[in-house]
Amino acid sequence: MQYLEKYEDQMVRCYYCQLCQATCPVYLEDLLETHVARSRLNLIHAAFIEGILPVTDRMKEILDRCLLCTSCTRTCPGGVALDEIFIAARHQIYQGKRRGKVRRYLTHQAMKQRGIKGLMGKLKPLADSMGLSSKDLPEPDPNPFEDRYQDVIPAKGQQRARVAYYVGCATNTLYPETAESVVRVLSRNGIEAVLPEGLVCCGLPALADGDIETAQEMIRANITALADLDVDAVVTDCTSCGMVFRTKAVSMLPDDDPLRSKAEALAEKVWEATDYINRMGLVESPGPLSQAVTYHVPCHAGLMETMAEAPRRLLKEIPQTDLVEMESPNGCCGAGGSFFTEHRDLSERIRSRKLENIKTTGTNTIITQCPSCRYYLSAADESYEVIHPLTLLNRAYEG
Amino acid sequence: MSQLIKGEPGKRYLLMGNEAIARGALEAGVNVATGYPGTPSSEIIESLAKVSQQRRVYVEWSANEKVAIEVAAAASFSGLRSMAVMKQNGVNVASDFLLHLALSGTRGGMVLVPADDPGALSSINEGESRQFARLLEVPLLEPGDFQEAKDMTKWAFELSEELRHLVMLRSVTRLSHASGSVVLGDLPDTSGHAYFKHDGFVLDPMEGTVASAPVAYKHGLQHEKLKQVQAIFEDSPFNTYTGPESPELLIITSSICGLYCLEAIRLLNAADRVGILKLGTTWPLPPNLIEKYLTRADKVLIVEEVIPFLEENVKILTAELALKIGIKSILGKRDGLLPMENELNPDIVLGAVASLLDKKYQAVPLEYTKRATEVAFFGAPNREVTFCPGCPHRASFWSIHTALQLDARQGFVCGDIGCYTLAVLPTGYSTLKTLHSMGSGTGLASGFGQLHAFGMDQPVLSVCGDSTFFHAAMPALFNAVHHKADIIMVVLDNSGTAMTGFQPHPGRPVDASGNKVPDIDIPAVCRSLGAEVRVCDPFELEKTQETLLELMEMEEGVKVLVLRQICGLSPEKKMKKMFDMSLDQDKCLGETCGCNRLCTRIFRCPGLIWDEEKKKARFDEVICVGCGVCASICPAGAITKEKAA
Repeated sequence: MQYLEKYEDQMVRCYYCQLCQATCPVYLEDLLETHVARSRLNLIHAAFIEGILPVTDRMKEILDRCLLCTSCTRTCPGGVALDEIFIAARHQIYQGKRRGKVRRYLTHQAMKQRGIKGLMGKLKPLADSMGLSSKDLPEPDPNPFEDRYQDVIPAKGQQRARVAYYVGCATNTLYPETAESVVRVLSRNGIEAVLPEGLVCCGLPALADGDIETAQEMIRANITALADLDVDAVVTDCTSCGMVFRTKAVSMLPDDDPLRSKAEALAEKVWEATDYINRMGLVESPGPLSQAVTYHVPCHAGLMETMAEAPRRLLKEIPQTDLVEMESPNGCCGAGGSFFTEHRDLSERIRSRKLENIKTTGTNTIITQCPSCRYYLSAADESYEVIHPLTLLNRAYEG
Repeated sequence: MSQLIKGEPGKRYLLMGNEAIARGALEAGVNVATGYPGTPSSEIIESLAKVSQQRRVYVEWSANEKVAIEVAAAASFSGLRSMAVMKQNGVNVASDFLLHLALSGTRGGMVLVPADDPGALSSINEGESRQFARLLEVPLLEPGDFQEAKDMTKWAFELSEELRHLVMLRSVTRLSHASGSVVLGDLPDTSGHAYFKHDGFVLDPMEGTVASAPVAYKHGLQHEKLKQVQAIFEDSPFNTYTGPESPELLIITSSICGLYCLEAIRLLNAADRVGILKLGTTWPLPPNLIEKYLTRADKVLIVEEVIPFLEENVKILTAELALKIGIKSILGKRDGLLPMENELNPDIVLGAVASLLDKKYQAVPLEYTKRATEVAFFGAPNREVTFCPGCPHRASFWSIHTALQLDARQGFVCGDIGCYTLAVLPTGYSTLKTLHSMGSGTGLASGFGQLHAFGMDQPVLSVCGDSTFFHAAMPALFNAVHHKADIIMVVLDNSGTAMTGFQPHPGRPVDASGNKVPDIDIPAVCRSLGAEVRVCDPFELEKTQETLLELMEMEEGVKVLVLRQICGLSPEKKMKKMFDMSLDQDKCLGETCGCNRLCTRIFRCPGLIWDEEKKKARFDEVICVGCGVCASICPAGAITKEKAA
């Protein structure tokens, strides 16, 4: 009850208004009373606080069948941090051992060591242990971002700011060109980017497993690497990494953790790169790019209002680029980090709604800030090009 | 709620409106409290029951509201303070006695607390108890917040005692069921000695016969009391005015609407233009007080919920005062500015006030409304009202529905009030075809059951719950038996007043305070009347259906089938599984089920779900209560049950 206890007061703030039902992507597919945030909360309360329900396989199934998309948390008028409660419940159930020994070891190693020798080097054995074919997972780039750039990327022209760039694991190894776009766009707009040493995974995959202790290790390592840097901001290209730094780092650390105050200070300084660039304003005007694009808002962008609006604003700056809004741009794509590897059928059903909405826009270019959304959407249809907003901006700059 | 009596006087506590009313009664030294459960009133009696021993209060859940008020009146006649509590519908039931009580007068302080339900959130009508104050000619008090709920309850007893007249204190859902801070007062000594003095001069109100006759004389006394109370109301601290000396707009309001008005004025930033006269004493209105404020403004808005009760009474006064105060524009419901149905809220009040002040104010941002509509209509999936998993009513209606189908004479069921009311909907296979007040199902059936003389050959059934049986279905049953109506009355006995929170009734072996009491056996009552009586467990589908068909075959006369199975949510049964259920997905026919997926599409217990991935049915073990009924439903025999350990 170590972590759930903290949320006991919050749990009773649910007053069964059912608004989470309108936004939960899993409920929308399953239409089952037990598959919505409110019910999960009730089950958690009954099993762990009241102790009147046994923890059965079915209960584990229900608590695992959640993408941690945070749509319920964002909808909840009572302000219940449902996603964090689900994480704490998973911790309670699995005590950090949700996955088998081998997979735990591999994941742990992968999260600690970044780059091709870390996450992606372990991808094959991980996929094997999950019974996935390589077709189900993205192909790592043989030349990850960390091998392409090191230390400092100076600002072009007059320096307006100095930022630390936190490259997410997936961007680093799967989509290094995104990271390259980020540093080029930053530089072009007078922002110096520092690539700090000692960064590890943000910890979200561990949180999804309920492995709070491992996540704390990651969070502490990243805070240690980032907190004392002499920078104006910390930017990341991934909305999920951004969410962890912004909201989860503080709530997941123990109250008496020595790094807590640093985590709090850091939370104020972290920005998703698009959001940061938009905030700073463009120094150099981009050239024309004649195309229509649509914007898929990643779920974890929802925790900061400006995160979702920034790409829309920046796209307006690119001449001849039309943003065609899809129906429900905030709707989940079904990926949920690695959720789709374990709930294939459900994820595909969630994704099919998204694909239909994309289809009606008539464009094949989709902008999104989350590498998991990016992979999962592009895997659905080879004709789709799914890219980070700053990749598009960089193209507009470089012609 | 221990703080109800443990809280320190003078200190502030968070109390639910209903608890505040209960505390007020305790501070007044109430000795007898009665009621019949009904949302939103139930917690008042429940709170008092919990402290009945310590505070020396006799508390009972009466058989119905009329009996409740009679029991409370007896205490008043004997010099004790008493109260009767009910939801608004209960006042209808009690109204016959009430009209006589208003004439006969009371002795010990006696308070009637009706809790109204504007918007019918937990009711099937939107009736109003305020009308009754005028009809019965009794003083009406309406608390506007939680502190007033307590203070006015205490005052109501004192007022009643001063007048020797019943006093009505009306609450509404948003006061009864919301919570707010209340500064507690002192609790008196738990004294109180009962003695009914009846041998004095026959017309002496304190020593003679307590009766409504001679009517004209007693009615005259009653009108004296009303004049007396009007004078008291003129100076009541519960009538308050906030606003400028001469407001551009005067709002007259009462009850929880007072808070809506305050909020609206604050949002409009119009405190310098609008005055609010919040009345705690709304019938009879204090004329001098109203005159004082009417002279200060020409435009008056009356803010109240549902019927224009206050509006009409103010208009009468305005007409009477016209020569003195001139012509006033009294706005509210009759001109369509405010709705005559459903609850109000600050936004609705704000809209009306803004239009009168020529202010532009969008209470809810348009973008929000648009988005909310989108989510509500396009985002949120349709979700049906349903019986709980393993609810005995689902099994009962499955059997009733099946028996009527097999009988094939277009038989039908007259519905009644309880959880089983839901059987007008698909969750009860749309079995109920009439639905009115408590006990009316069997009354209607008694009427339908006479129509065979006019060629009706449809089987006539009625249902009622165990609490409803005692409340109002018994006279209808007597009528049906006496007149040989050809009906089957099905008593859905789930051992308690389930819908309102398992309050006991005369069929239960405990009373409101938990004392052991004699329980009345429903089948025995029915048998004693000469009805043909059967008792079944609704979870045994086959036996229940056979019994129903057998009863439908019988000669004319009243047949009673008691379907007895305790509610799965009752404290006695909660979390106890009767059966361990299992479902063999290899045997489940899935979409090819010849019965159109009987279990998940038609029977539809939430404990059975459709496995979208395997395209088979499965159990949702976390909510299945193990009633075992679905094992008899599956045509493929895929579902099996085993007695739980």
